Order: sequence, then C-alpha cells, then structure tokens
Amino acid sequence: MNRAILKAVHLSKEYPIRGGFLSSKRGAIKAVQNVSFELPEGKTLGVVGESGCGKSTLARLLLRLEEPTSGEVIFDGENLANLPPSKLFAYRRKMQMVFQDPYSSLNPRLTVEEIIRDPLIVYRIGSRAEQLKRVEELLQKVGLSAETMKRYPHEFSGGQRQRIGVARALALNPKVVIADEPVSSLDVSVQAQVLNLLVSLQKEMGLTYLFITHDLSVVEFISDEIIVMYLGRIMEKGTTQTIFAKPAHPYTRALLEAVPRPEPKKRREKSLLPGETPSPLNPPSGCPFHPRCAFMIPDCKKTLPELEAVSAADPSRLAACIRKAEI
Amino acid sequence: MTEPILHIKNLEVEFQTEEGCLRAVNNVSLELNHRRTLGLVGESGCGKSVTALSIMRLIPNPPGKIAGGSILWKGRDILKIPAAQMPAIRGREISMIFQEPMTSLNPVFTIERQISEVLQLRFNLKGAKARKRIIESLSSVGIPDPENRLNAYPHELSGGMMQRIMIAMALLCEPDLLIADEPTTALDVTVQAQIIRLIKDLQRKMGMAVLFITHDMGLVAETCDDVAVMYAGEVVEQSDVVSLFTKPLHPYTFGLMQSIPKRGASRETPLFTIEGTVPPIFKMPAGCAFAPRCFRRRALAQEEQQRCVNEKPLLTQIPELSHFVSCHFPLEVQCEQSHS
Repeated sequence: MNRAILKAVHLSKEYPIRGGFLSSKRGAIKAVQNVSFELPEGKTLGVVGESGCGKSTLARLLLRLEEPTSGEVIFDGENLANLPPSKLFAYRRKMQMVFQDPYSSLNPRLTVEEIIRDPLIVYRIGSRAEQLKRVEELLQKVGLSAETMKRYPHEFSGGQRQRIGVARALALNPKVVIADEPVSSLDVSVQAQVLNLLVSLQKEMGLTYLFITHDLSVVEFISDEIIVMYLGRIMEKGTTQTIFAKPAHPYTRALLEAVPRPEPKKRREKSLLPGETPSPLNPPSGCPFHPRCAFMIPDCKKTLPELEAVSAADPSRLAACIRKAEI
Repeated sequence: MTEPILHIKNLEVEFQTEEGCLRAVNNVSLELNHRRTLGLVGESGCGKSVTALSIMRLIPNPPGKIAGGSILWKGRDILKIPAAQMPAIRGREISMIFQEPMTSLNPVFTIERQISEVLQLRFNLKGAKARKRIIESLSSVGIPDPENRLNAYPHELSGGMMQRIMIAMALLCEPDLLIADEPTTALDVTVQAQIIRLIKDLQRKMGMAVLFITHDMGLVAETCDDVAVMYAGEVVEQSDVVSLFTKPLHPYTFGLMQSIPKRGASRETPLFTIEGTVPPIFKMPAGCAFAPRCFRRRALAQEEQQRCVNEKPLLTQIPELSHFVSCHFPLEVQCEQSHS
C-alpha cells in the first residue's frame, strides 16, 4: 500500500443562510459533512455523485479555496486547514486543479504561452528562457505543438483547451492533481483522447489524482478507488472493482442501475429511484437517503448510519447503511 | 409498407455568416413511422438540432435558410405551407422539448400562467376548466401535489420537475410527433432514467412518434427503434438499433461506440480514440468528411485512400438490409455484446 499523500479528516463545510432581522443566521447548508478519506500516492481516487452532493465543495476544501467549518486536510503530514497564508503558498504548488469548463477557465486575453507560464512567474522559477523552454515541453507533453504558444484560447477546440488547462496544472510539477469534471463538457470522441492523456501523464510523472465526476463509466475507467457521495456525506467507499461488482449501498446500486447501457438487445425495465435529491437546507432525519430507498426500515429514519466496514474481511470497503450486511 | 408520418428528403440548411455561406445540414433524408422512435445521434455541431428546428420551421431567417429538399408531414410539404398555417402544425401536431428546461420556461410567470396560455390559444379554455386540465396534465407527468405547484415559479422547481412541466406542455395538444432535443443532458442520471421512462410511457399511451436527439449512445440503445448517425451535417449511417450496435458499418459510428469506456474497462488498456477533431465547416474536405480522422482509411492501399479523399460517398443501402451507410469501404466487424 502506498503512503497517503493527502488525507481528509472529518472535513465539514457549512454555508450559513442569513436573512430577516439584522441578517441573523437562520440556518445552514451543510455542503460537506464529516468526510474522511486517504489518497495514496500515485493512485486515483474517484469521487462520484449527482449535482449538489458536495463533490465540488470537497475539491475546493482540499485546496483550501474554501475554509472548512471543521476538520483537517493533511498534505504530506502537514495540516493545511490552519496553515498561515505564507506557508500555504508553498503547499499550493504541489496541488493543482483542472476545471470542468475549458471555455471559462482560461483567460481569453492571454496567449497560451502566458497562461502556462503564469504559475512559473508567480513561483519565480527559472529565467525567462528557461520558463519558455518549460512551456514548450509542457505543450509537447499534452500533445500540442510549440507553434500554438502565441495563439489565444478562442482559436482552440474544447479538447485542445482542456489540454492547455492540463499543461497549466502540470507547470509546477505538482504531486496531486484535483480534476473536477475535466471531461464532462467534451464530446465523447474527444473525451477519450483527454482521458488517455491523463492516464499516460499519471504513469509518466507519478501523479496522484482526485477525479471528480458524475459519469460512472468514466470513473470506472480511471479510478483505483471510489467514493460515492450523497447530500454531503460519503455513502460508500471501496476499490473500483468491488463497488461496480457488488455495490453495498442502495444508492450506489440505484446509480449503477440508472446508467444507460449501449446494449439494445438487453433492454429491460429498470427499477427507478423515486423522487429527487432533497434540499441540503432541510435534509431528512436519520439516513439522508431513506426517503428514496427501496430497503428502508423504520430505524433508517432515526439513526444516522456510520461509515463502517461492510465486512470484517475487508476493512477498506466502507458503507453508511444499517442494512449493508443484508444487501 | 405504410407511408411514414414524417419524411425528410434531401434537406439542405445554410447559414449566412461573415465568413461566407455555411452549410449546417447537407442532403439529409430521414423517415419516421407512426409510434416509432428515431434517434438522431452525433457530436456537437453535426447538424442534429438544426435538422429538428427545420421540421418546426424554426430556423431563424436570416441568417438561416432552408436551401433545398422537402419535409413531408403526413404527405404535405411543411416547407411549402404558408407561415400563417404553421401554428396549426407547430405545437399542435408536432411538439418539441429542449435540452435546458431551466431556460425553456419563462422565469417571470407561474407554471399555471405558462400552461394556461397554451390552453387558451389552442382550445379557448379559461378559468376553472383550464385549471382542471392543467392539474390533470401535471399529474400525468408525475408531478407530486400538482394543485400546489400551480403558483410556483420555475426557479422554485428542480431541473427534473421543470423538464416534466415542459413535457406536460408539449403533450397538451396530443401531438403526433414529439421532438426531444437532448431532453436529459442537463439532468442527473437517476432523474434522466425517470424522464426517459415517462416519455416512453406517454408515447405508448398516446401513440405518438418520437424524434430523439442525443449524443449519448447508451440512451440511443435504450430508447430508439431506428437510428441515424450524423457527422459534419450529413447522415453517415442509418439502420435499426440492433443492427447498428451489433454491426456498425461506418468507421465513425464504430469509433463513437468504442470511445465510451465499457463496463469493466480499466486504464491499463487505453480507450479507442478518433484522432483529431471535426474539420472546420469552411474547410470541409472534398471527399468523405470523415476521411482525415478515419482509422479505416489508413489501413487501405494508396489508391483506395485517394478515393476517400477525392470522392464523396453517398448514403447507400446494404443489399437486403434496411441498413444504410455512406462509406466507400464499410467495416466488416461484428461487435460483441459485452456482458451485463
């Protein structure tokens, strides 16, 4: 087992809702609640869930782009959650992010060279000539030619822009790359190109990925381990193989069932998940999934299930469901 | 053989732009029978939405223009009907739902007000009768507690609920054809499954035909009877859904199916990719539009490759099959149905 390079310990984030007299606090949206996991070096952890499950907030917390309400983010043994800004600066270069929308995440007024060189300037790495050489190297790494350096983002297609975003993230030789839905705005033929690129860069540079997506086929392809989130909480965690072969949580099951499959001969009636995700402002009592769950028993309304090992035989396989042993 | 309810013949749509005339749809022919679902698949910019908008005569003119072809709707050419008569078809016989339910509804009016507009215009229904009809239609699309949703504004509803309301509105006039343009792309998978089930159930009940536009091969496999695959403004392959998935003939169709990660796939085996990107619309190759990206072409002899580059393939029928492909050298592969 590789060393854990990034750890989240009981991480929570609440956004207060204000209103009424003197903008007093009326409630809170609990975007991320009590999330803990370890990310082993050189591996890929996939985070799956539907909109509003807290997966993007989680990414922002790990980079400390948001301040956590409670909990710790431990990177390489150092707790980032209470690091002063001067020290945080040194850690930030080791963790980089690739964003979902390659159209809005690149400054349209900068050339490709300026975009990729920017992190090197901020961190004062090398002379101008060295920086330019590095930009050229990075472009080559992501499959773009050096002639593209003087061009502007609007001259590129979505897939090429995402390659530029990846090159920018790799400029500082980070250890961890957090990718928030990096392929979801791309067409499938281009999506495959970018996924292959991310995989080969990981092998070449020993990168560690936290890969956030709503697309289950993508997450199965790229991840070693998977976390399934619902309403800010982890519902299930395990290796990719076990989660896809034997989902332990009813929500994971329902998600897998809902994905359309390209097999017209094997069409069948699906069992549908009823209703929609409840508002995080007013989450259900007990297990947050109980109102939509086919396996619900009265106890589910009362007690919040802990994220625990499904069986003693495999301590890395966790699920938050009181009936996990039966399902 | 029954006459198809919708028969598009050699449709050509052009847009005037600063850089010149841009042909978004090129010589597209499609047939759709009563009660059937035809899938129109392809990636962004392939012309699938423009084809759908042409059927509704909703191409903005200028800059757009239907430059040629015909769209026979129950035997009448929609393109020749006077504009004043279009409302009798548009919305009444042919309805459409769109990708973004959030932007398709007017944010400043309540749900009741938006639906009642349809009822008043079409059926001259007002007041209590209209209200009763609205409640019925909302409950038929599975909206819980419809009485209390009447005064809601769109922003108070989730994406899935808004799409249900769009469907309710589209089906008020019991159309014979529903055009669904990426109706679930903006929704979560579990909600997508609900909406797809709803459309299928209503189709069965009302007996309408559905033109289903999507980029998702999985959805095509689950919902469509027939499929047309579009690339760069043209239909490159057309067939029934089973033979398309088991024996894709066009290299582009094959590539599209292969580039989606399969169940059980891992990154140890790189994904199949279609190299490069769609050619810019002003620089379309003279021959096959897919030739510059085609893996099949690269395996051919030099003079055969020249044919792909120079000569435009036509959509031709495979003998004895209702399978059409526009490729000089169709694939001969049998796709294994992967395990479930």
